[in-house]
Amino acid sequence: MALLEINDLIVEYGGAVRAVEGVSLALESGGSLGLVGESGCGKSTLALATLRLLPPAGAIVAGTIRFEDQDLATISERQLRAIRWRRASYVPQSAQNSLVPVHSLRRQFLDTADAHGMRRRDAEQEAVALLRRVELDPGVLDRYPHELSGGMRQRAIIALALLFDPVLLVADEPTTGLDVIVQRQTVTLLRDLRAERQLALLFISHDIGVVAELCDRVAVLYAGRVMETGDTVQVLSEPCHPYTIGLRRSFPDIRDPERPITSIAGYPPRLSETLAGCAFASRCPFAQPICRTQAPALLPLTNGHAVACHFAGDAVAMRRRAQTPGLWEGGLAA
Amino acid sequence: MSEQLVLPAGNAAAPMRRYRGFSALRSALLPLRSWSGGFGVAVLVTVLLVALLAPVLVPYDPMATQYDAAKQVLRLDAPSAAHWLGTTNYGLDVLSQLIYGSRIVLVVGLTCAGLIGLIGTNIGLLAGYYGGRVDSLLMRLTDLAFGIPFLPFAVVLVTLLKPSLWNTIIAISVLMWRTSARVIRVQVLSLRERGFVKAAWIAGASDLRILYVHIFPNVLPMVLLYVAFDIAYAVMAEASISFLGFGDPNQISWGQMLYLAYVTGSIRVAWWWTLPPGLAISLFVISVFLVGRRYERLAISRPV
Amino acid sequence: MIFWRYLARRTVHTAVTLLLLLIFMFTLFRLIPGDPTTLMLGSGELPLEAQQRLRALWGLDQPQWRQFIDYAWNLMQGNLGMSFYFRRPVLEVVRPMLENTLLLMTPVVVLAISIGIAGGTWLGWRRGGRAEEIGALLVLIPRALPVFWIGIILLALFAYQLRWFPIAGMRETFFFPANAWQALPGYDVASHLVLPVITGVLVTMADPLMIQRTALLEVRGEDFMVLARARGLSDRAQRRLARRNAILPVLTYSAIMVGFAFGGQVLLEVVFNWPGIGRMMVESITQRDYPVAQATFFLMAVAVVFMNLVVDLAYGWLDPRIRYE
Repeated sequence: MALLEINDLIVEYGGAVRAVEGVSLALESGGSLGLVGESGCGKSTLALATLRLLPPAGAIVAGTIRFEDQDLATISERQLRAIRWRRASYVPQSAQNSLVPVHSLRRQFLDTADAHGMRRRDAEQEAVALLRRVELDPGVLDRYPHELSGGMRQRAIIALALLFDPVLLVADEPTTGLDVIVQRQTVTLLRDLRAERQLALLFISHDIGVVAELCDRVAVLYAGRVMETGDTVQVLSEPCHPYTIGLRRSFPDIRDPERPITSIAGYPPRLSETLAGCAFASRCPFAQPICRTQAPALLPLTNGHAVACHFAGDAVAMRRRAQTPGLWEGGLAA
Repeated sequence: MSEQLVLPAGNAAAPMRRYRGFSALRSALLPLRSWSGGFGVAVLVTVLLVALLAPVLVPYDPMATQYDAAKQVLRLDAPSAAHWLGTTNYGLDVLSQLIYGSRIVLVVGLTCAGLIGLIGTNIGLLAGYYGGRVDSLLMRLTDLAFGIPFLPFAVVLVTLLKPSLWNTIIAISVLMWRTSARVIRVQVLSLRERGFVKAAWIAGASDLRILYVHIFPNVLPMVLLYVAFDIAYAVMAEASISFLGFGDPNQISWGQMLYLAYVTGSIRVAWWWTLPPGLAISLFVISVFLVGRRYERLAISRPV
Repeated sequence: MIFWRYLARRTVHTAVTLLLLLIFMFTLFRLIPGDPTTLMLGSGELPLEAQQRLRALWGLDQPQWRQFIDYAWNLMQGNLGMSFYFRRPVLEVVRPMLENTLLLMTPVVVLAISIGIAGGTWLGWRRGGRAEEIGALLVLIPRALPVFWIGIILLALFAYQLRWFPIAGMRETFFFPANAWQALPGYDVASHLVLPVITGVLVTMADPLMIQRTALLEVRGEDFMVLARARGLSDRAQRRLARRNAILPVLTYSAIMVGFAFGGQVLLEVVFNWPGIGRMMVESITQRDYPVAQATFFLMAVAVVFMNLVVDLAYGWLDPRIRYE
């Protein structure tokens, strides 16, 4: 029984733009799932929707989010509040403005503790212990957010997120905008914390490299849909979806520095338009007429590896053809 | 949610949106898209027309004493068929005065707003751009302007220069630029650091050129916004100065009408004399606010 | 530590501004035609010698800059000179007026700011929609009405027609309580306060309200509000957080408003014939009593400049990010 199970989730903005179009995911207790995709593919929306943190314009239109025997999509705000931060925490993107600028860190820890009925003394103790764990000097409690560097803020937020020892951590691009060294520290920290606390991690990022390192499983999103999902090593070494194949080729490979990096020509579709057929068809070098008329379902290939492509079976051939120079830039293959 | 690839950061090319013909027209007509904006525009256009056509529209000479059939002066006469808004304490037709008052509103409003815009914008531009001592000096001047109480100063100045319309305009303009100066300066301070300004500087553009060709067009929307609101504030200021008895005795302004009504103790009975001028001022100011608010969206939410 | 440096800097800056204001004001008033000698004696002609003696008495025969130094020196000792019109020390004349203005403006400012913050928070916390737009419009309307016109209407209606409230001034010359309610201390003044305070609040509450509303709307979209919700804070706690972060612009404006308010709401006082420094200022101009005019003018300026200083300091204290500038 998975810890977190999202089924056919549909999220709309303003009743018109569909940011998440029928996404289904599962995360085991203590497991780690990475969500990757381009800007605007809906991964941030998905992360926010998981804990019902969408802005007023956003709404969950359909689907379920099962977490610990409750459907987070439909329970009341009051019930949600009991779960938020206690059972599931959220670590946001760019901690720049995520901490209250006019309150000290101590105040923010205490306010959070107070919201859930934790005693002040216990909260202070926990805070100090957690800050130490993330390798921050507890003296930082008396500082204001703007007095800390980006990396320090990120770590402080992670410490705050663990205040009630949750079982699930939803991290929305926590390493974006940090320099490489700090990135490394954050990734290591998250990995260690996961091991120590049996913490399940839903990790959103556009950086495949980081996801490869941190997550056991990965889901590739495009235009609000899951294109491919499975064990990270398998998906990245033997991608079966054209999009994943293209993505894979857009990252440098340290084992083959001479290999040219290619990007995928074109732009993701506008989310305000409803699409017939596969969302990737307009940019896919392997697209066939059926791709434009019938949307492929996410079907399992082998153990745990599922792909949404009509031609997933020809993955090997596609991967080979993918190496043809000029294939991805402008124009579809015949 | 971006639907396109993210553009590289730091636009070296001038990012300002040049209002090309058609989109400029569309922007100008923006207020008409809403009820409140449409109402505002209607009122302002009415005032404009009334002011322009005053000599034609007016039923009587606003300064001519009105008499009744028995050759008695028509003092404080209630509204009637002959005098739609009645007469004043001195027997003058209220409606005619109201109509002519619109001219003052226009003259004062537009002139002051223009002067204020001119002074305030330039001070803001120079202070924000040059920084250092120029900035200190100009901001000190602005602090001074803020410290001086507006109405008392206007009253003193008008006493000094003798009450007249032009002197009232001067009295208003001499202080009112202070707010826009500060606001424009802040805008310029942030614009100064932008890529396109630095690029122009490196390319060897002179300070003046950078200021007026590059920076000024980007503060223009904010300037226009303040100019628009200043029309309302200036009209209100003139009405206040007149109400205190320091208005131009040779002109009829709406504020002046209220002054006379108050000072002759007529407010007790002559509602036809006290309501219309105040209502006119209120409607005018509200309309400027309503229309200005519509343009506020344009000025503030620009992506630049 | 850094805060004290900031405070010192701002205080010096303020002092310089006040000095400049004093010079400016002094020059301005010296330019007004009319001289105490001509004023004191109306249209009578004085022998030259008497005129000269009078001028010497008033110190008017000294060079201007000398007069200024004397004036400034006296000012610092609390001596504001003698009123030409009242023949009494200016301080004596002006002080009760100042108190009266404070009596009038304190309720106005307190009410306007309270209503502003509460209303702005309420309007801003709602998701924005027709009701909210209409609310905002309704608030803007009193702002556009001339304060003296509202005063006139309220007077005509409630004082003259309905006789609920007294007509003008601060107290009746002769007041005989008609019943126990009226016999309560302060009833007379209080009943005179009602209409002017209502008028003042109507006109001044719009700005803080709109500022708070705008600030709150902006704050609602901030990242830390999302995290606050994620942390499980209650709706009330979230709203309080929003208000705390949005309140800076309003407080800034409030302090400035206080400066302008205590500077004397000239129009309000004139309409209601309230004996405050605003009305005094205008009257003294008409009476060519320029020591009094000068003193009230300067007092008003001091109020504004001082409150600006308070605002700067409060801002530095409330928003920790500012102190480092």
